[in-house]
Amino acid sequence: MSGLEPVQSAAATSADLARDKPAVDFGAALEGQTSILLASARALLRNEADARDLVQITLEIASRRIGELRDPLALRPWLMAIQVREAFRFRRRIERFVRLSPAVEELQSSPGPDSDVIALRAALPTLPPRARAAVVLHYLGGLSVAEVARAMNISENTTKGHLKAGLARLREEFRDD
Amino acid sequence: MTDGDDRTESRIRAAFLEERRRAETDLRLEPLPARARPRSRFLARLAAAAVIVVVVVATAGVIGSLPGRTSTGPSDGPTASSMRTTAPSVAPTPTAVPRPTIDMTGRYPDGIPTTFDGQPVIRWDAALAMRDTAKDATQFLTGAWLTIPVGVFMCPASHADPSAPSTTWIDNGGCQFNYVSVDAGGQLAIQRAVTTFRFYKGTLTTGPAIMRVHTRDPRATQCGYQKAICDKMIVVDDIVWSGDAVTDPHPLSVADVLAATTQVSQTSGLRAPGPAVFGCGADAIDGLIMCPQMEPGVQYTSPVAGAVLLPSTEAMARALPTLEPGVDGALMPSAVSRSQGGSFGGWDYRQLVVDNVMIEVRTSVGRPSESDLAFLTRLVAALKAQETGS
Repeated sequence: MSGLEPVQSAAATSADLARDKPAVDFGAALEGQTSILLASARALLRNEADARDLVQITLEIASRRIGELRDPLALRPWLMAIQVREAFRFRRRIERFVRLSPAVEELQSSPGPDSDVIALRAALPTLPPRARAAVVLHYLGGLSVAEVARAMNISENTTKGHLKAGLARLREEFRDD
Repeated sequence: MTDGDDRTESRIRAAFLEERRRAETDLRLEPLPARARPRSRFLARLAAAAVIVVVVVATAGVIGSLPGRTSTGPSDGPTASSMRTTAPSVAPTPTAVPRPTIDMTGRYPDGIPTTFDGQPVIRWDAALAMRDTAKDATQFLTGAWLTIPVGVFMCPASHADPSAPSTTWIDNGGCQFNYVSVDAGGQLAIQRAVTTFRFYKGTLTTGPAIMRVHTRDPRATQCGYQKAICDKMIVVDDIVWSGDAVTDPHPLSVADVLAATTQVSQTSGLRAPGPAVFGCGADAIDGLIMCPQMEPGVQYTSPVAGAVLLPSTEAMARALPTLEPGVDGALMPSAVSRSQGGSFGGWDYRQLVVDNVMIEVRTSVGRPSESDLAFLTRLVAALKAQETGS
C-alpha cells in the first residue's frame, strides 16, 4: 500500500517514488531484474512456459503495486517475495510446482551448462517446495536469511532449516564431501 | 558452517549466476511471451465490465460536474467519459433530483453504441474474426473495453532479430499489459500478437472504446520473419469514442466516491483515477483505481486506503462474487484482503462493497473495533447519500 504504513520515512519514500522520479526509472529498474526473475522462476517451477508466465505475473503485480515498495534499494527482495508467493499460488492452482518426476519438461535455455549447473538442476526438483524456494531466494536472489523469512512468511529458524536441508541435498549432488 | 558447506555454497552461487546469465541470453533471444491473464478476478471484472444493465442511473448534475464530460449520443463524435477523466475540481453538490434513466436505444447491452457516425460498430469477437477474413486494409469500427493498468510497466525489448526491427508491433505499442475484452462476458486477454496500439498516438486509458482499426497493414513487412503475424494483427488507428453517460460508473460515480470519502474522513485525499495514479494496494479488481494523495514526510492517517469503481453494481458482484456488500460483508473474515504490520502497529485491509464501488478500509487487526464499525457504517451512509442525492 503506497505510503499507508504510518512511518514517516516510508511514506516519504513511496511518495517520492511515485512523484519525483521519472516513471521510466521504474520500468528500467524492473526490466533490470527480469533475468534473475526468470532464472528464479525456472528454478522454482522447472517448466519453461510456467516460468515465463510467472515472471510476467510477478512484473505485472510489481508494476501495479510499485507504490508499496518503501525502499527502492530493496527492489529485488520485494520482487522475489512477490514471485515466491505467486509460485506457491501456482502450485496450489495447477500442482506443477511439486512435479518432481523425471518427466519434468526440459528447460530450453542456452546450450552448454557446466556440471554444477546440471547438478543444480537435478537437485532442485528433489527439494521440498519451501526448501527450494528458500535456496533460490538466498543463493540466487541474494536475500539474507531474515529477508527470506519475511518473503516466505516463516521464521528465521525455519528458514535456516530449509537452507540447511537444501545445502545438504546439493552437496550430495555436487559430491562435495 | 564447515569448509565443505562454504565450498558447496560457493558452487551453488556460481551455478545460479550461470543460470541467471542464461536467462539473460534467453530473454534477448525470446522475450517474454503473451499470456491470457489467469486471474479469475480479472476475468470476472471484464465479464462484468461488459454487462452494463439496461437501466443506467446517473445524476445529470454529477455528470455535468466532471470535466470533459458530455452526455452525447453515440453519433456525436469523441467524448471523454468519467472512465477517462481526472478529478473533479470541486466536490459535487448533492441534489435531491432523482437520477434520470438513460436511453439505451442503439446500444449494446454493455452501453457501447451499435453505430458511430452512421457506421456499424462490431464487437471485439467479430473484429478478431476479421483477422482471418479481411482481404485488405479496409478500416472498420469495433467496440470493446480496454483495461490499461495504471503504473509503470516493463515492456521487454523485442529486437533480438535484426531483420525484424519492428516486432514492437507484436510486443509493444500498448506494451503487454493492455487488455481488450472480447465481448460481454468474454474472456479478457493480453492482446500481444493480436492487436497493436503502436500507431495510435493518443492516450490509452481504462474504459469503453470504439476503435477505428484495420488488418492486412502493408507495413507488416517491417516485421521481417514475423510478417505473417503482423499481417493478421488488428492495427488500431484511432479511438473515436471513449464512453459517455451510459457507460460511466453507476450508480456511484468518481465524484460521489470522492465526496463521500472526504465527508467521513477529511484526510482521505483520494485521487481520481488517471494514468499517473500508482496502484495503492486497493486493486482487488481492475476497475478505476483511486489512491490516496500522499505527501512526502507526512503520515497518512485516514482509514480509507483506496477505492475501486466498476461500471455497475452487477459488475462489482461479478468481480467479487464471494463478498457481501455493506458493513456486514466488510466484517466477514473473507473481506480482509491482507494485513500489514509495522513498528507503529498493524492493520487489516477490509473490502467494503457498496453498489459498484469497493473501498479498502484499514481496520484493527483481527476483530474490528467499535470505531472501525462506526467508520464503516458512516462510510456506507455517506455513499448511499451521494447515490440518492440526499
